[in-house]
Amino acid sequence: MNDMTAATNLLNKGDDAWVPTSCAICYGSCSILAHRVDGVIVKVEGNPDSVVGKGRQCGKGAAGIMSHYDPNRLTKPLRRTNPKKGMDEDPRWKEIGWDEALDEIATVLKRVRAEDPRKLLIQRTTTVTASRNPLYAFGNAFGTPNYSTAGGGLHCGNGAHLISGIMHASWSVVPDFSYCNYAIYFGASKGHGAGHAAASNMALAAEARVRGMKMVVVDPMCNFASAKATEWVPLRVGTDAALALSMCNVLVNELAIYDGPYLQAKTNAPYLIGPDKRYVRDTATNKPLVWDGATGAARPFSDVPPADMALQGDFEANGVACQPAFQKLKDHLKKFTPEWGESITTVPTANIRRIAGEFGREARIGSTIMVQGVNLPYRPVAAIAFRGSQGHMNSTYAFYAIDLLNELVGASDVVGGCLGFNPACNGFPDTGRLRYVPKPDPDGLMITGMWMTYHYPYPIGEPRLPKLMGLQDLFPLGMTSPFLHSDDSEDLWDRFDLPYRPEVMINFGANLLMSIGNKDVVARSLAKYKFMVSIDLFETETSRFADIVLPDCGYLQTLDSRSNFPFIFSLPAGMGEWCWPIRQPVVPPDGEQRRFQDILLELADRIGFRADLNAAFNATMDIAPECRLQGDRRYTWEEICDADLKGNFGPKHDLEWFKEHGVIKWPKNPEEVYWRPFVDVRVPIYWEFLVPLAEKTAAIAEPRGLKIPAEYYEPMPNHLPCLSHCCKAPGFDFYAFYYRDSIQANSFTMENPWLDETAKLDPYSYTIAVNADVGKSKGLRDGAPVWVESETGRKVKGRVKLTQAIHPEGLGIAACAGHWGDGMPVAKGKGVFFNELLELDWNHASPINFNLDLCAKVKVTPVEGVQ
Amino acid sequence: MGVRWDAVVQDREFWSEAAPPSIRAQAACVKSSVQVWLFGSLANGAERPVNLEFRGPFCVADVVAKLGNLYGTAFLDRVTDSAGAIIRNCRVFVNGQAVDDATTPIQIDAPHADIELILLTAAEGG
Repeated sequence: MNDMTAATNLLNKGDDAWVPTSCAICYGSCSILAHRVDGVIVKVEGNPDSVVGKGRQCGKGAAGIMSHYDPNRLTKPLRRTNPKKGMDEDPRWKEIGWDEALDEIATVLKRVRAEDPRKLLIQRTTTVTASRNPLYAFGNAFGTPNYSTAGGGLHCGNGAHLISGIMHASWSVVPDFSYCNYAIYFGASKGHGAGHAAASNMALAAEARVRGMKMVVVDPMCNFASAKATEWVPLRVGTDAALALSMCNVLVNELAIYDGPYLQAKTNAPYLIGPDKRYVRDTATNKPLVWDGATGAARPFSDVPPADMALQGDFEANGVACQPAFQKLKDHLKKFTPEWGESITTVPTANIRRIAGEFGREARIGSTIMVQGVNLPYRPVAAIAFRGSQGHMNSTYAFYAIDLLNELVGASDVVGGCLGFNPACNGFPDTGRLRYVPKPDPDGLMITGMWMTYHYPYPIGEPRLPKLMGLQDLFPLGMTSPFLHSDDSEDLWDRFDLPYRPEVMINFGANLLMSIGNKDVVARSLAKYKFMVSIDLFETETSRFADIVLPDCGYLQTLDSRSNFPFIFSLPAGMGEWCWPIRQPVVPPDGEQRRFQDILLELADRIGFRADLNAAFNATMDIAPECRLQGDRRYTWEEICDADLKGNFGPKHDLEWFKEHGVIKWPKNPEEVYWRPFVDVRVPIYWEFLVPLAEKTAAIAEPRGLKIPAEYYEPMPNHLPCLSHCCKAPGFDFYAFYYRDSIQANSFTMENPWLDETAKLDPYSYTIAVNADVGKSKGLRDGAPVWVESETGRKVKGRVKLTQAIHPEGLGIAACAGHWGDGMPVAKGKGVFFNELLELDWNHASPINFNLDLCAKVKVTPVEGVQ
Repeated sequence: MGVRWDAVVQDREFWSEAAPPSIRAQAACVKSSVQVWLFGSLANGAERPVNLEFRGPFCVADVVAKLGNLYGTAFLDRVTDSAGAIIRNCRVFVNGQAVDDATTPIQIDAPHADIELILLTAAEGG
């Protein structure tokens, strides 16, 4: 237990070392060098030997040293002595020893595992990416399927990640910075100090701009990406799909700009669609039919050369009238005129036409380019999206519509186009391990080669009567669920006869009270847990609901064999090198802090499921056969990391080798980066699979009184208004939203004193941004304290910052701020807690993918009596 | 300009899989024994290992079908979809090697094979 020998040895006096390791201030997990002098970390810099960060570091990373040495870090296990749990309840902590803490936890978990292991919820933060495998393994071995990743998924990932997976076989998308000439960002900040591959993309984006890449940023607020853009396109909050659909219409129906050969060969555009909105299938093979122009007959798609597949026209096959999917889409798009687009988005009609035209022409359809001696399609345009456009109930269609821009011009995983993060890897040359590549399903559509879990985004899972607390088995497009903590979760569990109720939560670092939605709703949910353990760096607002709090080691004290794998997450896309860094301890634990991985191993031993845990590590990390963990042997975390590394990179590259070198690299091939021309897969421009999904989901849900809105399951995208768009109450003039502040990572970094100082210097970090002209017309002035109130009566207070850099109808609040707990005193009372305004229930979540509606129509009123 | 997408690429062999190992013919009378190890939620109530015997060629799907006979439809509901295929997040390892295609014949060179089944986390966000 707690074998930190190596780290303890790091306390040597007189040492002066630069230790290669990985940051974990945000999920980007950039590679860093920590400078340790006499056992004290004096500086952290980017590691130039690594591809992950490319030697760069953001302000958050540089300030990480202050989080590490924060005197408010937890150093001893704590036990609650006040049995009451609530927002105003003092836990009355009592310091206890590790044995006592682990004994109590093991006793509870042993009982629950025997009764029904599904009563355990494993909850983790998105910030520490490498926590995924140990916590998965523990949950899988314990036997619970209930697992959640804080607010990140609910706020962006259910749209962005799922559709990046379906369309690009990756977790996210980015312009091919080295070759792209024209990038449109819809509420994304890739390359501007935050997000996946944050520091690497900073360099790549900067170099692209110097090279001349034009960047158009569609966003209600002109901040991190838009302020550096060629053009900022302000739009009404939550209307990105309408803009993208109008642009698609301009391309297809006004300018006739589309890549026919791409659509024929790499999408389901030629597949024939019948009157029931489904594929017309070959009666013998069940394969989707296309119209073969050469023979004048409908034939299975796999039997027809792409060049002969009709994209347009009216045909008859199997005795029914049918059209190619592209014809359906082309007709569907006609209603999204630029004039209609302006009425929804406020973006002027002329600008919609101009930007669509610029994008389409710059795509250079039909062109090729040589990359390292390989001739490849060249489409130097990209439309990307992330949190901003995805933070709404309409996120499925928003991302789908935005990505259609890429698909229509063939700018998908080709040179200069929209790239997934590393969807195909030919493996480490010495061992052949880590090889993955997309493959086709029987309909020819793409199945991703790598994913963050084993439930792939496509083929879509079969809806079932739910057995998961989050109901994802009934709504298979939902990844992170709001129904773990919503006000109506009990009602939903009753409706679907969920055969158990949650009793115990193991929380790793997530501050649920701040990261999901309204805190009172989440607090009611947390208070219901019979037993909660929180493994944390600080006493957070959420850990005050725990029965036992365990002090974790920070990222400069811990070990991870895979701080950046899978490559689809935070390894930069595009040409360059494959790179696998590790995280290693630079300094030892302080006080009685222990690594969470050691805690999990110890609990498994005390409960008695080490054999299951070993098997789960073998499976979740896919440890090579010759290195697999055996039986119920009590491996240390070091031994598990060593097995992982040797299995993937051969016996020479063991943990000691990685501790010395920090990273291993090997070159990427053009066939890996620009894999799509080489791999016979198609992506859906027509989502035929939503039609049966709607029928099957409704067949289960509607007899139990839960109406499934059909408009969310149509096979072609639409603009679906947010609830805030429907608010007509007088005085509610603003669409409130929050945005990712590039100097903060979730709620955690608010405690960092250097970042606090930076935020105080920034006019926006701790204020409420309102359009200057609109604000003045309402009598608002800079610095004035105001109440921001939602239609449902939720209120937050803050000070106004008037600015031209926000849409007239927008109200922007930065980051996940506004801590109220005493455990993070630097953070307490700083900034505005936007999530307070968010409802958390079925009505405010997407009925197809669970994405929360992260906007609220609000009214702004001065705080009386305060200047 | 004007080059067809699907005419650009000259070398389509880069991603071709290595040829699968030839399936060694097994006489119908050959008896194979396997030890099946069920882990995590699948282990609940099951003995470990489960000893199964097969005559002639068999595959992972056959193993799962036998487990279904032993543990009933509740077991099958957890590891297979409505079409009877093994669900993606039920991971199967034969002698430590991950098996993605449940119809792949199992080769037995040793006296017995170890087969592990475990259900992994399905959903992820962030």
